[in-house]
Parts: sequence; C-alpha cells; structure tokens
Amino acid sequence: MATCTFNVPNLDATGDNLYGPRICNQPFISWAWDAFDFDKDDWDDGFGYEEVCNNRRPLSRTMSGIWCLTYSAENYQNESYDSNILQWGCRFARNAIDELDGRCGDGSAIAWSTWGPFVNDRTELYLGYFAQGVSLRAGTLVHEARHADGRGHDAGNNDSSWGYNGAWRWHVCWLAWFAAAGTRTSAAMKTAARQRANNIINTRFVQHPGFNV
Amino acid sequence: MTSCCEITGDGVDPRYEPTRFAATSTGWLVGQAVKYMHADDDEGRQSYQRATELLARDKAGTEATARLLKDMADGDPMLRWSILYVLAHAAPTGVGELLTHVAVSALPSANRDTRACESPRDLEIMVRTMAIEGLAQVAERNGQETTQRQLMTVLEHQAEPALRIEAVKALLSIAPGSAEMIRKILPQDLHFALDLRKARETDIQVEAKLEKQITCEVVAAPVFGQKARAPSPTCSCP
Repeated sequence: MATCTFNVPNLDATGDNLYGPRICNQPFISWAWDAFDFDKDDWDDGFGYEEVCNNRRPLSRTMSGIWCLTYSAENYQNESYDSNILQWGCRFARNAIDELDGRCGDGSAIAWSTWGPFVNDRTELYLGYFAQGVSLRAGTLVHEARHADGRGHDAGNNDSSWGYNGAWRWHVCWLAWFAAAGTRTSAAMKTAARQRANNIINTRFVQHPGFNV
Repeated sequence: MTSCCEITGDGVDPRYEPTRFAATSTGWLVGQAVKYMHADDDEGRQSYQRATELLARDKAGTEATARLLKDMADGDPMLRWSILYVLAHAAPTGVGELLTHVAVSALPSANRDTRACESPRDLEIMVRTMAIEGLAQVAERNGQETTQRQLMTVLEHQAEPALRIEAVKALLSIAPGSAEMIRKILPQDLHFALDLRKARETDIQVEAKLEKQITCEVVAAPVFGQKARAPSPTCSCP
C-alpha cells in the first residue's frame, strides 16, 4: 500500500466544475459503481468513497470521465454497435473493464490494465489520470477498455498501424467523434479532445495513417 | 494483520489551492475567462465572450499573463492549456511572442517505462500544441509575416515530432505557399506532414467486436438526470 499527495488542478480548467455536479446523482453513481465494478477498498482512504460528490477527490473525477463517456452522444440511449464509437464507447468499456481501481502510481503512467488467464484482470487509474481534463479521462477509459478486452500494443507502447485496430485507434476515434459530435459539453473540451487525438495520431503509430482529425 | 488475499488500496491526500488570479486586474480577467470557458448556458458563454473581449483590449494583457504562466512554472498543465486557449481567443497585443516562447519550451524527457501507454508528458505536449494552434488563430492580429516567422522558429527549435507536425499544419493554414520552405527545414521522416489530409468519417469508424465472451451484458446507464429510486441489478442476464 502506498500513500501519496494529489495536487488538485484548477477545477474550472479540467471541467470538473461542469461535470462534477452532474455526477452527483444517486441513480448514476449506483449504476456506474456496479457497471465498472468499483470496490470500496480501492477507493477509500482519501480517494473519495466517503464523499463521491467532492470533485477534488479521485472518485468523483473518475465518475466525471464515465459520465462524459456515457452521455456525450445526443441520443446516448442508442448504443448499437452498428453506429459510431461515441454511441457505443461506454457499452464496450463497461463490458470489457473487469474492475476499476484508484492508485497512486509512480508518476510515470496515467493508467494501466492487465488481463489474461491466471491474472486478476483489472484497470488501475493513477494520479495523472485524475489530473486530466474530463474528456481526456473518457478517452483513456476507451483505451484501457480495448486492453482489458485483450488487445495489447504490437510495437512497444505504440501500434504498428491504423489497420492493427488497437487501443490507440479506438482512443483516437472516440476523441474525434466527441470533438465532432459531442454534446452536453463545451467548445474548449472538444478542442482538447481534438488536439489529444492528433497528438496520438502523430506519435503513436509506426506507420502514420496519413490524416489528422 | 492482513491475510494473504486481502486487497489493500493506496491512500491519497488531495490538496487544493485555489488559483490566485486576482493579484492583478489582467489576472482577474484571465481567471474569469477560465471560469466560464466550459460554461454550458448562454449567460456563462456570454461571460466568457466579455472576458476575452476585455482581455483583447488590455494593453498589459500579454505581459501580465506571461507572469501568471511563469509563476505556475511546471504545475497544472490543464490550467496552462486553458490560459493559452483564452489567449488564442483574446489575442492581446504581443501575444505571438508569448505563444512562441511556450511552443518551443523544453518538454520533460520521454518515459521509458514499458507499462506506460499515456504519461503526464502527454499533457505537456498538449500545452505546446495549444500554443502552436493559438499562433495560427492570432495570425490576423499578430501580423501574417510575424506569425509565419514565429512558426518557423517553432519548427526549427522544437524537437518533438508531434509539435513539429502541428507547426507545419499551422504554417500551411496561414501561408499555403510555404510548403517548399518548410520542406527544407523539416527532417525527411516528417515530410509526410506536408500532405496530411483531414480525416473522413469513414477513417474514424471502428468495428466493435468484443474479444471476450460476454454471457451477461452490463445494463445501460440510467436516463440522464433521473431522480433517485430503488437500486436495480446492473446485469441483464437471460
């Protein structure tokens, strides 16, 4: 067990003052808690189990990422896998991620997933995750969900190509659709998503796909 | 005493210190713009608009904001990104120089940890990406030629490929005829950046196919804004 200090970023800048009040809704919290298999032991001791609505705590900030992933499509109730990833990203993530754990981390990674036989399948979220803007947190969940479903990277931490259809592609696609068609959000939140998508496209594929979003 | 299989989580101490924007009137204005930049109502959006309009007319706008950013040093990248977003909208006099300074500033060294897909360095790249995009946005007020020169400076002095590509895009957007000049500066392995196209809808489609065998699908979220009710199971099993 580690202990750490989380220097809470400006709440307006990350969007936590926009999304924080939205997650403070019992039906949503109860659903998300079960759907992403949170456990008390992974989210107490300062992570926010005792005060889910406090947007300075990691749990509230994770719930905001889930809220953004869940409700950003105009008609979010259509989660058909025949539509675009903004529609079904949450459905995929909640089915693929076995459990979500809040951890300190060592400052090098934002999140990490492990999966496979004889392994305790889980996704760990570190301090850097909680410091991201809300739309970026949603994008990270899609990325980790792709791993949790069993798809790793095939070129170190990068993907060999767009065609590999790995976590970086899924990550980019969610951010790009959010930037283009996301609702219940701000123009600035979409700008951040678009820029992050392009940064990923431009550095995370061994063979560049030839476009930006 | 804990047993062998008991899960023990980490402990965290969240520390929040409100940003001290109000030390100067310009700082206060920037703070107002940051406060309202994610507003989801008309009143808030109008407040953002007013704050950036006033900031645009503030003669000390760039200098005071530069001090604000300097005081933040390496802390809170999303706040630094937000301030640059505001500056790109307001475009106070002399903002091009400040954006260039941020865009060429050194990045933390890349993470060699094989476990890390994303790292805090990614947010630092975003801060500089916002500065580069901001340069293209303020080109009209900053002057086309000056902005072009500043973006060339970024291209020459910023080694990170993701940021060089952003600089190429920004340059081509304000000076479409500059491709040959860019080609001379850009390393060979980044020449593809001159031919990047905008993604089409079909490019960003993914076929959702769960690799895992799901026997029991987790149910969908409650209707947005639903009032509290008795809990229900979240798994829809046959």
